[in-house]
Amino acid sequence: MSSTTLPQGARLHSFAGVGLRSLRARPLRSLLTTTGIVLGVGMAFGVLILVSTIHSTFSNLYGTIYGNTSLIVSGKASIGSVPASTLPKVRAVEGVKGVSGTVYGVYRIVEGSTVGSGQGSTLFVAGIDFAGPNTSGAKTVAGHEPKRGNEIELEQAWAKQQGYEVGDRMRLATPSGTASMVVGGLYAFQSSLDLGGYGTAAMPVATARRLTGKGGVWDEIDVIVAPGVSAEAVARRIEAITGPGVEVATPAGKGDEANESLASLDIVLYFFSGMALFVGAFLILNSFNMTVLQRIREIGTLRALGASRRRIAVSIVGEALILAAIGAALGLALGIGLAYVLAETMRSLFGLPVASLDVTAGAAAAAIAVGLLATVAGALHPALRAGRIPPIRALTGGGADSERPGLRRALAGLLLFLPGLAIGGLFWFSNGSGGSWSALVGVGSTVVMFVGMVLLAPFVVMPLIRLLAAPLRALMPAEGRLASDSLRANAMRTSATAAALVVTLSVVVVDGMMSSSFVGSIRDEVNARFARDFTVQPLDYSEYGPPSSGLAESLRRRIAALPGAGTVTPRRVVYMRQLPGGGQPGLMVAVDPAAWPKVDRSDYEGGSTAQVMAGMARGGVVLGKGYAEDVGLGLGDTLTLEGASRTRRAPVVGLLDTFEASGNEVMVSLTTLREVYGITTDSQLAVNASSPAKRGLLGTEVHRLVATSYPGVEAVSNAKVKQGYEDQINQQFAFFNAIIGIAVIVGLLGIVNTLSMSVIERTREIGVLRALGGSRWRIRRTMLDESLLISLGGCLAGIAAGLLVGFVWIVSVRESTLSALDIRVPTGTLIAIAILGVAMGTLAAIVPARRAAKLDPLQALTYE
Amino acid sequence: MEDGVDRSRFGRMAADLRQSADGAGAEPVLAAHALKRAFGSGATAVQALAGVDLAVAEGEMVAIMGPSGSGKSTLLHILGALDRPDEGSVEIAGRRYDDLGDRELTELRGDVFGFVFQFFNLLPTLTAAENVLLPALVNGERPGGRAARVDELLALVGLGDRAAHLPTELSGGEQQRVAIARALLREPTVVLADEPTGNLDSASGATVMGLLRRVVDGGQTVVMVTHDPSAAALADRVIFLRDGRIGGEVEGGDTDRVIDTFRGVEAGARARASA
Repeated sequence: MSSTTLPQGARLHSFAGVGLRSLRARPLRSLLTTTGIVLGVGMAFGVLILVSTIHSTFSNLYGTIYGNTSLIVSGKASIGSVPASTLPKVRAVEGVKGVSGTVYGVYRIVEGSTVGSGQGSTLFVAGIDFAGPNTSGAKTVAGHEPKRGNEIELEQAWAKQQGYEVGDRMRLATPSGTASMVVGGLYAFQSSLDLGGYGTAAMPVATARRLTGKGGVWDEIDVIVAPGVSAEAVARRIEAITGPGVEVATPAGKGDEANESLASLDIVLYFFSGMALFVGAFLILNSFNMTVLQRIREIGTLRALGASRRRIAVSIVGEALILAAIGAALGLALGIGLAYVLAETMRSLFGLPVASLDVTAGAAAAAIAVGLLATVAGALHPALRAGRIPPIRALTGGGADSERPGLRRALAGLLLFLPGLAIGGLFWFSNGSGGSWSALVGVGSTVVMFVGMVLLAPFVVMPLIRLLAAPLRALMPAEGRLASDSLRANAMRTSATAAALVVTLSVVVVDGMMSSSFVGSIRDEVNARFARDFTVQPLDYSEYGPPSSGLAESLRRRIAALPGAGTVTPRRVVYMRQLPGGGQPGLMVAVDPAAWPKVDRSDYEGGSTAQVMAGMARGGVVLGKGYAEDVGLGLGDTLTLEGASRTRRAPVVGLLDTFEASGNEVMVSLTTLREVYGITTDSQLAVNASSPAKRGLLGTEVHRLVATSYPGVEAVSNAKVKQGYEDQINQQFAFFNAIIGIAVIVGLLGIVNTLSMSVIERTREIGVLRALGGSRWRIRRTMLDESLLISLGGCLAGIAAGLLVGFVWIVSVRESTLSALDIRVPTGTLIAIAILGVAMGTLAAIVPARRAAKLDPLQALTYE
Repeated sequence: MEDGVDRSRFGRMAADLRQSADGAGAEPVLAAHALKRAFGSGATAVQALAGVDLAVAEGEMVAIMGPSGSGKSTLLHILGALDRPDEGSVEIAGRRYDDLGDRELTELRGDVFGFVFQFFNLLPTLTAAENVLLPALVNGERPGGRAARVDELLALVGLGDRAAHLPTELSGGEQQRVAIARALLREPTVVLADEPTGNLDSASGATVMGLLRRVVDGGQTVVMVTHDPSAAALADRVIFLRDGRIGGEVEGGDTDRVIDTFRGVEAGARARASA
């Protein structure tokens, strides 16, 4: 390089420098263009970090707490389902060196009279037989292993973080009341464990059984295989003696399983980051299309000087790549911040254990790669187009012919949009986490749908703008006309800008429509079904959250004994990774057929409530309607229940339209659950007063009982149950909305970008207007009107598209799984979007309008 | 990429052309035969060129005059490989190039022709020196090989001390002089100028024309479109276009003679039109 002598006054070493120079000369536009990439890459990187963090949390968890374990024997269905009698049988299997049974519980720490909330005060406690072999590989590093009944041993790092030492007292909120424990010792796993704040602890198994009410069962049995013996062979021998309801897996296999169950969450996250990249690429496309138009003479000059098509195209893509590189670097920084926020959200909203961020070079490389790819995808079309413009047309400025969207575009748009819409609806929201494959198809077809939407945008937006412009023209003939004519003359530019809005806002509408439909329908179902006065449940009860400990048996008896108590009946809920008969994850719900109709008014298909309950009492099952359709079972068919205790063939005696678990529900009697799965723990209690007049009295009594003796339990009204469901749905959608918000920001930037281009492009026209006596205010009005027309047109089209997509998707969800789902239009969201449209239009016009108004008429006239 | 200047097919052609110019010189370096070019279609179709023949000799300066819409710019664009004729052919040193593809035409523009435009068309983000250097960069050369040439050309056009200035810091006349230096950088066979004084005041215009004349006197071939008779008079030969055809021709040198001939062509055309 140093040998190169440059002419005086020149600092360019190659043609590439020319593009760089022009980027530097237009810092504002370069910045705006880069923003799309920054957000896109940031989003991708943040999501990649989050996903890999969540996964490594689980891998680390299974790798750490099973330090010495070769095999894990557990119920296929869920925790708490291996009969105690299984343990000696497993111990006797050839090749087994040692076995240890465990009973799990999750407890909140009680400080003073309040139950702590959040992860720092949540303990996962294993009840262990300390006389048995050490399957975890944990070593006691302070104090001693808990021997006496109320001793607990804490994981060292967590204890240090929370300030607990050996000998300290600690009170735990358990289903059977507050348990006062003493920290007997501290232990350390063979490698460090990071559960994002959750703590782990161990206590004698007898204590754990007493606290959780899990007598006679193990949650799991950990097996150490003798040296030199194949774990796989031992696993097969254990399976042979335990029967179909029991599962034997390696710790690694368990970790993989946990990770697999997160696959659909991953895909949702990838999808949203893909959306951000899509919009980012769109911004690049728009911006470079404008660049090409604006620099058409320059391109003509270069062509006349001997630049080939390729050189022009490469130069434009090169410029884009330079921006992409800067954008990607900033995007990585943003991504780390974003991942931090998302991880925090995951912890607090979903209760997922998420370790500290796992930032890998691979994720960074992947994020940069997709950012560059999106950039090239966005810049390629304008670049090729620039190369294709005949030099003579470029030189005479004739290349800026306004293209008009043609029939081919409309057809292509329809051919992408309609199938994308239909298939997306079928797969995207198909039955729960119906596997990553169907989610992938859903995501793919949704992307196809959006591409179709972009292609179709001009055919909807242009007529809308014409319509919106009519009153404007009537009010302000001159400015209104100018604004709308300019938009129509540049149909492609206008619709490109509007398309970014249509896509992003339609997602917001679909999202809002989905959430309001779910919330509304659930509200209706609760209103229709709940005949109970109170629900008693563990704090923060959730069928899907961390495994909760359930309720003490004593609680049911004590509530039933309260003055004014009528029906007090339990509901036992087991989350299953695989419901019997199918493969969907879902809930097995057990109730007392005799008492349940007194607290629940559900309508069953297959007979009167009494008949269905009688059938259930005889060992029958009631299936959620969507689930029954999925697995192809109807009334009278037989479903095989495979529990850890026994296998039983159960007739389908009823069908139920329900929202719970998206309809993936199997209802059985308490007896069936106990006999087949060995589960006897109450999850919730439905409580009725003996008469409506006693309701107030009973309420007071229940609250008092819970507050004094059962700190980990709450009694909630039906209104609160509804609120709880709503909050859960709203929070989940809020999480999506936050991500969608980023896409909306990108769309807004797109509008600002396009509008400022339009001012530059029309500098001379503005000069003429000013020369003819147009006031600054008038110019400003014109720009503002133009901006408002685009954003309002885009908003309305986005709302229309969103309503259409939402309608189709909700109908397909209703038809395929959730027959209880009703369509609700989120009026509030729509109004908010319309207001947002006006605000965006005004905001986007501020800078360009000022710039236009400030133009010196004389300079503008001679502007080249 | 080799660091060679004349590596392309037409680079060799340009070298051949220069050599053949040293020899014979009788053959026209640039020739057009029966050129026709129409724009648009149907009722709005315009016949810009309706059969034009032209031959330009090596080292000759030819000015093309004519009223607006006479087809003079179209002719220049076709000669400069920026556009293709509908019918007829163009040749450079006896080699036909109207039927070439975009790639070959691109090489031709880079290696054989130099362009000067009415609106200068300098890149606003590049300095004067960089604008002069641009054709080398566009054609993939290393800048070092042309460093001395850029300095020399800027000195030639009298802007040796403005090398580091941006176009916005130069007057119109100075910008056009930079453009002329740029057109000469790669020693083109023919320089094509489209209204080079059209956007300049008369003093700057005269400077620019004087510069072009000096270049021709140094052996360079120049074809120029202009509507300024005094600029045209500096050419060796002035050709008048009228409705897409050559309406007349006159030797340069005297502005009055050029004006008289131009008026004669116009009158003749009107007479034909009214007849």
